[in-house]
Amino acid sequence: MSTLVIAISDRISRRFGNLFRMFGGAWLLFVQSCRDLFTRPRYPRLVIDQLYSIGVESSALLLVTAGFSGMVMALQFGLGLEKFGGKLYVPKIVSLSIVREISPVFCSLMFAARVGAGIASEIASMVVTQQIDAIRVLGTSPIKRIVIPRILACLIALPLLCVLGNFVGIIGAGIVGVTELGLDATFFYQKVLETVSLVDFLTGFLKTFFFALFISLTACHFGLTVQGGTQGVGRATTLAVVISSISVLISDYFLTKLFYVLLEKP
Amino acid sequence: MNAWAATTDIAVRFRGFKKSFGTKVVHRDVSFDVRRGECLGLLGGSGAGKSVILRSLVGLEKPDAGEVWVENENISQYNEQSLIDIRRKVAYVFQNGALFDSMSVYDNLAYALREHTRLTHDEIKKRVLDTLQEFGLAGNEKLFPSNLSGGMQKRVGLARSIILQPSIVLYDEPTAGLDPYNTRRICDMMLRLKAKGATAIFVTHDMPAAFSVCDRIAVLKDGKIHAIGTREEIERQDPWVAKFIQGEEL
Repeated sequence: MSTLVIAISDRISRRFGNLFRMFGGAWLLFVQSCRDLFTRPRYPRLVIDQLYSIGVESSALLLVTAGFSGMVMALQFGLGLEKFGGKLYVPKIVSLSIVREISPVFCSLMFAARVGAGIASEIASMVVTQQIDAIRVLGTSPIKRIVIPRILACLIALPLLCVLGNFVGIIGAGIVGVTELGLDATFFYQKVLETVSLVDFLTGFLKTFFFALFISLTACHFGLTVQGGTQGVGRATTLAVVISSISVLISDYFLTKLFYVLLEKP
Repeated sequence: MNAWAATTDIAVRFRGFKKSFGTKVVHRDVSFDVRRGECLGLLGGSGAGKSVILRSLVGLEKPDAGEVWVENENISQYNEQSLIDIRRKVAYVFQNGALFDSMSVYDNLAYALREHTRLTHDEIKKRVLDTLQEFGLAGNEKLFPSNLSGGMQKRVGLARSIILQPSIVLYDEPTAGLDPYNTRRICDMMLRLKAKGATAIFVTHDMPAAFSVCDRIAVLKDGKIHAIGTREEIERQDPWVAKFIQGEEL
């Protein structure tokens, strides 16, 4: 019995140890990146390259996600509210949901899946093939050349994609509102403009900076700490996507609460 | 004045070097010197910690205890920033080349020049093309590492490592997995670098290559330098070393 208790407590403590090591590692990476960001040499060209592969190449996926999320939201709310004669409230409800929650969170989750996985597997492969060691041995910093450009590109790309996602989501909802629910297009978009305030927009928009940071840091951390060859690359990639997606969902609650206190509380 | 100043003909010095990974003790007490311009072969069984010795010389591993001296600096506790100057003086040739697979051969070689020199675009181009010519790789500058054979990747890796004209070169099994012809080419390049005065440490399991290039041989066993000297000296010193070198059952 005592052996079983020891084994269980050992397992639990190891799990918590790993969790703390992960958060500690990501935090240290963040601190080191902040410090190195302000010292020479800087690599703006690498940030632009990453902006293309992270931002431009993810745009189609994120816009499709945002567009269809808006469409399905309009359909669900429309069909549900129609029973109570509340179809006219669809533009208000859907636009607020898209701008405050759906677009930032869904776009970030898709971003974590595509970009987080890409960053983690790319860096992990570089570690396994000793390319990261080569960067260091050639007298350069992997933090400056690999980590910082990816973090900056994520911090720029995700908020911009989220703004585009807001537009595409609302346009998609409008299309469904007009074609499926029989609402007038002018009425729909006028109600959207009347409903969505700057605070609503900022509540969703500002969250994406935090989400971008969590996704990029998590992916870089798991990539750099990969162990165990090619099998480790797969494990690091999976962990990066899982942890960054969970971080997005958990932090969403606390950020919503924080922005409510900061931006909306009278 | 430190002990180093009295022995300026020493390029690399290990003193009381200890290193463990978890519970596995790899090095218990490693001490040896490499003289300036000398090529030291580092032999030992698999897992003896030969590569760890090389990695410690460029700060990729930190010793648990002991000193690692490069030129006249004890680098054992240097941080990443302080190690940059050391890494410009010490070249590391990786076993698999460790080429940047997203860059062409040209960009792989130009990397260090762009980072550490103020050479113009044309000067960099000339230096890269000259180096490729010297290593028998002319005409391959636009290729990517995935388009190269194993032997070519190793030669590009070697060319990239020495393009800043380092004073010390560390070879981590550069001939592993190569056919005799490519092994010979790599050894010839190492001899050419040696003739130019570069100090070298050559980690290998390839005994003929080691004996053709190295001035002295050090054998690692049980976390210590078991024997060091010329081939004749170490074979005479210890029957175990003679058997190890000849590949006999130990």
